[in-house]
Amino acid sequence: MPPRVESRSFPWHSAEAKAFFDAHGYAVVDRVLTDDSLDQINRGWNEVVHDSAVLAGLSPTSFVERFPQNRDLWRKNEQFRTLLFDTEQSAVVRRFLGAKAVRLFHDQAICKPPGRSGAIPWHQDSAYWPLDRVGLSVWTPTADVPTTGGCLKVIDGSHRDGPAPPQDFLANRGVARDCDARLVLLPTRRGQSVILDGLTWHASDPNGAVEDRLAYLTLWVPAAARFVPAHANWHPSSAHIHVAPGERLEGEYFPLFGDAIGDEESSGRLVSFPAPMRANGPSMFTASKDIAAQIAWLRGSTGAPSPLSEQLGTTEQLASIISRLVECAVIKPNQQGAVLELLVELRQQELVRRVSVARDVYLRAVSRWWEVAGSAIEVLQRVPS
Amino acid sequence: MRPSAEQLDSDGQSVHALRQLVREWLFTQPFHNLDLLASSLRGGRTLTREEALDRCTTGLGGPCHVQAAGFLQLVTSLGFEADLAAATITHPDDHLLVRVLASGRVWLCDVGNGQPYVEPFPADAPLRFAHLGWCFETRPLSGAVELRRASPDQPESRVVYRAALKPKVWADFSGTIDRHHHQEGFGPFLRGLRAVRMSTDEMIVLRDTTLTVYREKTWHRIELAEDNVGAILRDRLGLGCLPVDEAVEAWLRARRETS
Repeated sequence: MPPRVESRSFPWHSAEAKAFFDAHGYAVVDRVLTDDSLDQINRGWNEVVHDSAVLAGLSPTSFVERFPQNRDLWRKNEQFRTLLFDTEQSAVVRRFLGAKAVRLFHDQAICKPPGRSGAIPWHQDSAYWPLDRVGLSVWTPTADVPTTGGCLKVIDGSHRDGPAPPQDFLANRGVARDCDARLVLLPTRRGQSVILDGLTWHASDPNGAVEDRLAYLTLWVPAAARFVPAHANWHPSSAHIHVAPGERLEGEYFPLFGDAIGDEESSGRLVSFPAPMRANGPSMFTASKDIAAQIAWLRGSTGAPSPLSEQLGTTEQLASIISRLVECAVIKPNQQGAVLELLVELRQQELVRRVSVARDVYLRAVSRWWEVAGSAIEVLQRVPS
Repeated sequence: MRPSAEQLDSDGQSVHALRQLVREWLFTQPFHNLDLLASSLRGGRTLTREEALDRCTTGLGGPCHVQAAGFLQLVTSLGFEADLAAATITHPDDHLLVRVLASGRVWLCDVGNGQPYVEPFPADAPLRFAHLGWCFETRPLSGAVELRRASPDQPESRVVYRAALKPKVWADFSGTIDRHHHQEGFGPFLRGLRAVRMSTDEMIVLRDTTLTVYREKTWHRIELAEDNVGAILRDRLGLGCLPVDEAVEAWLRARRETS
């Protein structure tokens, strides 16, 4: 049976919108952002991509194909800063979260070029945030997104299913929900946004349409949210959290919107997520550290492994890694060229992650490392020498 | 219309070869002051001439004295008659060039200024050339050559320096090199971070936290967070073999003191 396609949308300030959101865990709403603001997203995105591409030494097109997700946009681009502070987004969020005051956790945009994008597996947003309250995401595409264009798909009412461990997109242990009878596709028109409860299961398919699918996301929590690093200390935003565990989230990266006067302690839904399940093989939560540890082992280093970027910093280091991979029979001599390209790609990925706060959401280079060398190294590490 | 260096090559191939060497050198060797900054943490020991040559042999470049020593070694090993020469930027004789005899004429080659001087400067004729939107003009003066520059971000032409044609040797610069290593304010190297990597189609310039990338018809400037400067030096400018962490530490220390 084909999935249900949601066709209802609401004025964001209507009582129906809030009631629908509370019942279903999502709502398609109109005019959170104006046409001018949507154009501003496109302009800001182009500026951010241009800067990031220059830093990485890639063309903008190549950059987006390789690193389709770019975060902390409001910190690095005036267009996005204005979108955050001079639009009604925070008012919309306060209404749907039912909180007088809210904090931005972070913003990001993901571009899916037609025919050159992947799927985002099923997940709950709040599971990735090191916080004790359920948050909310505002997902705004800059153009029409048909059902074939990588639109959002959700599990209707799944915000009542409770918290699950953060899904590991790399380990392929993601929950398959495409056969869930509650599956709903959310095609959107330009000018619409999707409000998603932090516990609502959602995903998106590759963009099979003809236009780029650029979606701008802002991710929010009630102002009462406290820092709980246990289940998600690997989240990149954790680096900007300077309060102690158990204290309220605050800091320059997490601007407050609304009146946070005293009574927010009770606002928002408390939640506790299990930590991610770990097994052998790659994990998106620790991919960079895992590869760094493998390379350190390969080179016979003892002690804590240096960060991956430091181990891939020079041509000599790359040559030495490749030489060791051949010596250990992890790769064949005729694979050296391909592995060199992969190592250079991993190095570039580390640079982009750090400097531009952008990443490959499909984790392709990491997956390739595991196919080419990582799995074999993992086996060798278990064999007594 | 002023002639190009190629047109000036009326006596054979040697200036053509010299021109190729200058270009290849510029596109291989990075310009930077990382060694100098890093050494300032340890009392500012100056690289010896042999160490400077080693830096160039391994493609690690450096500031003018390192690169001039290396380029001089290269051209003399190829049979050119060559010496060092001095230019004055902010202090007398504070910049090193290489003076080369080619095709029966004297040329100045500047491979260590972090700018795309892709042509040797003739001692006896004016020259105009350009690379990635940077335009240069040289003109002979009495016993010297004056260099003017206009860049995409500073389009007004201005004098960079005057270079004397008098042959010099390494020892003539010992005072200058020492002051670069020890005297704050003598050139930019003890207070500022400088790194440049250029190729035929791109030039990346890092001046402190400002990264500028010049391409044939565009240029783009990005302000970096201090925390990201090391990563850019290592992974974008390819300087991971150099003491990046120490250099950044010294630069940050000087930056804090200055501010």
